[in-house]
Amino acid sequence: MPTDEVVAELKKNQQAYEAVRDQMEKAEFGRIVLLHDGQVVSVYNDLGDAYDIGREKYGLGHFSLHRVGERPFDLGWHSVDLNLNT
Amino acid sequence: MPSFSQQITDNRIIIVVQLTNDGGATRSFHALVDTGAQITAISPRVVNELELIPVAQTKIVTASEENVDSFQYRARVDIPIAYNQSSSSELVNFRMGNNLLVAGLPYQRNDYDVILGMDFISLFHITMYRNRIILSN
Repeated sequence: MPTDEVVAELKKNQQAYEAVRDQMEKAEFGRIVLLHDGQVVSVYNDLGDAYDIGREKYGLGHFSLHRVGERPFDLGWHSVDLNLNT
Repeated sequence: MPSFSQQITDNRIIIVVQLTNDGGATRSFHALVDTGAQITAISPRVVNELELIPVAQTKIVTASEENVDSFQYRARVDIPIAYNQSSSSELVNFRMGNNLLVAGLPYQRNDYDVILGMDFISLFHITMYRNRIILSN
């Protein structure tokens, strides 16, 4: 399971994304945001590019990605399973 | 055309897939082919065995329409596909798949560790016929 340090990085980056969500969804819909240490670093067209650059510059566990405009995912039948198991 | 064929058992399609982490470590797991799932998801066992580190957070809708937070991990997912080499007429096994952001499930199932969702399934041709599934690219 992820370490506390990794979870803290993800949470900090999630908060940073929430602060700019509206403007991102107007200007960058569908693109991939790279975040590090509570800051938006850059926006990319390709998930693989964003991942490779994040890993190279900061290392795994020290960056996160967010697809602009992403909505909660539906796992079909497993959505019921989630209700039973969480 | 390269393809993979398997019997459908108990009206479920469970196949063996390979997942590979960023460092190249590979493990095989049972996976449910599920066209009702939007994305591919993995159990805690996969996360632990491959020592995956999350790179994103997302939300999954539950049946009661409350959203559950989920970590997402980068992993390569491959299925076994064999093709008939025209030069030698021998079946050659190789793996075919893609790098995906997979969601972590918050619970462990006993019968499979991976849900192959539409982000993966839609990469392939799928035929179901006489209780068999045929995946081809």
